[in-house]
Amino acid sequence: MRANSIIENAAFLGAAVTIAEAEARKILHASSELWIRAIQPALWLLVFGEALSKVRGIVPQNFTYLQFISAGILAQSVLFIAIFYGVTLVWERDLGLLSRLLASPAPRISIVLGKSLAASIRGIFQATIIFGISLILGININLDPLNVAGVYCVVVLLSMCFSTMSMAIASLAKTRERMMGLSQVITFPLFFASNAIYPSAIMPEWLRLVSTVNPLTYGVNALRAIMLTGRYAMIPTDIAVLALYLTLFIALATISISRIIR
Amino acid sequence: MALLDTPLSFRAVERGNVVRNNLVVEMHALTKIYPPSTKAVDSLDLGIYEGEIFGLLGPNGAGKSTTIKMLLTLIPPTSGSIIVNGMDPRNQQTQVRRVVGYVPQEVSVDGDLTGFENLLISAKLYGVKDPERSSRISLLLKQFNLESRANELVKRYSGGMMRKLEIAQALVSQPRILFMDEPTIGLDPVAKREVWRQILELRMTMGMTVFLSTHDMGEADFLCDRIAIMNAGRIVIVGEPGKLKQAVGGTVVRLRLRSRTDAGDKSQVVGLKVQQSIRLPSDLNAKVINESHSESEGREISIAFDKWSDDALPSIIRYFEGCGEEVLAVNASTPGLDDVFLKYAGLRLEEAEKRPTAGRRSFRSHAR
Repeated sequence: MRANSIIENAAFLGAAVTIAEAEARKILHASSELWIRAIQPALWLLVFGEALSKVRGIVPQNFTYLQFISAGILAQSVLFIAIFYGVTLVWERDLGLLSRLLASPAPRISIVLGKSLAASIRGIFQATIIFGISLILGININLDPLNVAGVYCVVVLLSMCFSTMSMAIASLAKTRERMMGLSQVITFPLFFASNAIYPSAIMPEWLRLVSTVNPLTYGVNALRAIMLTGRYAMIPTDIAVLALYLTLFIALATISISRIIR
Repeated sequence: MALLDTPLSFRAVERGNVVRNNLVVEMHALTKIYPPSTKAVDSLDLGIYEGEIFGLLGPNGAGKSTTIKMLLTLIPPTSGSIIVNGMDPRNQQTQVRRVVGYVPQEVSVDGDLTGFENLLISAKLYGVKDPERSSRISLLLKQFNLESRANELVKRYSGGMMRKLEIAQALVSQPRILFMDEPTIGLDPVAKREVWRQILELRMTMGMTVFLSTHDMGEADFLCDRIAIMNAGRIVIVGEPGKLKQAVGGTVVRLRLRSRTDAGDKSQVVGLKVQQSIRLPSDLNAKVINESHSESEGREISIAFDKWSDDALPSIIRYFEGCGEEVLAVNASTPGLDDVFLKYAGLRLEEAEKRPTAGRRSFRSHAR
């Protein structure tokens, strides 16, 4: 009985890794796409960040605005990439790819996990790009190996969180056009109702309330603590909230992925 | 490639191999109702024998894909029961999925991966381990003539190559039953024959059971041991294509003859006498069903063949020429599956085909 369940577990993880492998191979075949994806956060830092850094009083005095938003822009670019996994899912449904995948013995949860792991690969690349840009622009962020590793961990969590959220929504949308629309509708409120580009302190009361249920806020908090402030006290809470959301979204996406082809 | 050159006798031997005693797929009163009240599949009773190529024939929207998806555990039935390889897809989903292969109607290979990678990922998903995995993959690539393009991205493949890769992909797990939804839809005639050849070979070499859906009557006729005609969610008739066509009526050949006359004496007829009854050689398996005679038109004879073969026409012509008759005109008409469909479903497949369906096999560009 026990041996059996170990084999089952191995199969469940194995399938997830296989699906992530397929996505990783796709990224390797089209690596230029990764670089194109890096343009957006670079623009945010170079244009938006540089421009607003002239405005005083947005962020705490001991930090520059560029320092402040580097964590926010990283979280944002992870969100933008991960949210498209739902669109991909609808696309794969329109082709026969998803039906074939669902007709295979791979458990549904492995399919969801595999795809969210793939989103993490892209997220990690984005983080690396942000580190690179920060070095070039001379933005002073913490580049200790342990901190960099910590950033990667949070990025993986965030990528999985938003990609599974997006996959959970995919079965409601069903058409690619609607899914694209929904993604936009979700992405921007998540982004603006977070502390990614301005601190919660300057938000109106209602927006601050919204931002406290926004998973992106917790991601940004954790990233900012590791990359910049070094105030690690709240990190366990941030991680716990993200993990809770992730669990919820994995459950919803697993149900959703079977329903999407019906 | 030389599929249509395959002698009929050879194909008959091939079909003889199916021993109909072991059902691998059973459906009892299988029904699927999409809310609120669309009956996609309506109390289906059907059994598929081990090792046969079974075709589900019908127009778009007849319920073919829904039936296949229920058998594959992808859609839960509203009522009724299914047994696949002795198991119930409702509570033994994973076990059923391990023994079935599936080639959907739509594109099911990933265009952003190479041919080899598609097979590799599929093999891994079905838990096929190395070295078995590598040997199966290279064998399939060879068998489907994809070796030279194996490391190229699939989006650069032609439609036919993609379809072959899809079939190869479904075979990497060595399924007991292969489900194919419209296996040759959108393929040109050459690619179509190539796919047919592969399907026939599969059954020859592996004894695999193939369950396919199609609205191509030529395909059903050529490939399938048995077919079921489905219309509006119901099975209208099940049987061997040949027998179904026969039930509509065997091949009928109409000939117009003129008796030759003696070169010296024009009044001396050397051919068959008008009153003389015609006795056809028994190996033709044919009988005269109608005869008429007129001075101007000559003699007209209709002959029905129980068993049609490609040499039937030449033999019948040779026979009459041998009797001293001049064959002026020959006309053979065979009832096709379309006639069968017409008889049992009350509409022609071509007409039913005109119902709108989206282009189902296309690679549109996609953004991630």
